[in-house]
Amino acid sequence: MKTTTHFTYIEWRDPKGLHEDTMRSLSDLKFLKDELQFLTDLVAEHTLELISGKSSEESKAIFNQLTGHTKRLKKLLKELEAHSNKLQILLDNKEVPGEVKMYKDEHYKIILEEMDFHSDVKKTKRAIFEMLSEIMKKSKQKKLS
Amino acid sequence: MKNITYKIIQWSTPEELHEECVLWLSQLEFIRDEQLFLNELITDYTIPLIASKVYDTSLPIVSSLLKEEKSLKDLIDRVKDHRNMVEKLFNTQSDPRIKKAYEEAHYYLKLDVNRYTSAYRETKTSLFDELKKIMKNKHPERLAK
Repeated sequence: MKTTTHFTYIEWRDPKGLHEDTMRSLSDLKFLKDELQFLTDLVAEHTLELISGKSSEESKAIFNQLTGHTKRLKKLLKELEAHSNKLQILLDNKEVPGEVKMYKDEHYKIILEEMDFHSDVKKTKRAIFEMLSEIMKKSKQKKLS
Repeated sequence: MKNITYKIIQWSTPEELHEECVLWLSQLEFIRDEQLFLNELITDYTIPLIASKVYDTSLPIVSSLLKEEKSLKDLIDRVKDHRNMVEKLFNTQSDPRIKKAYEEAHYYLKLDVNRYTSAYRETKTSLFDELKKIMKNKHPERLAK
């Protein structure tokens, strides 16, 4: 994915803007945390009765991805919170040359990580949609027959 | 309002505006697929969702989801139109006033996209809560955490 927008965007973002970005990212990630939990429950609910080999392997793979995402999310949340506290310090203290640039570099790195994470979660979500649609269709047929 | 507009998009080139449009489209198109899945999920849970106990809370959620599905189509069309307009700015030596008009339109579209995604997120959160309640009732032992 091209990221030039974010790069130039961060370059001229003022501290207030950086703070807004961070807050938005934090709220996105917190929502995602609940969503991942829900998806884990949902997959569990629909796959426990599965016996056929292929589907159960697929659901196992999805479970593993979900667990991985949850771990990655925790790490990202910690990084973002630390990053957000640093901004507070940056705003309180007198200006040190190079400090803002370092902060922006970190900001850029975290935003890229976050975008990467969101895109991985989307891939898992697509896999979940497909798998569960299939399962729901089958169980509907079973009920009808 | 005008000052804010100016501040936010001051340095945006047509390429950057275009790139952001592409990003929005990919987000909105993902939401469209997700909504299709949520529809299936709701159908699968229709009976427990209309059970008298949760009817009052679940009905408004389902209806706001439907409303959001309808407005998504318009929003996607608007983003596509805007993207096509911005593309025209690439090659031609356009009037700076026209460029500025697109930058402003971009800003308002951005507000609408953000507004849409956060409202949709609220709806999803409420839907997840409803479905979680149903799953808990169905398998209290599994989701007792």
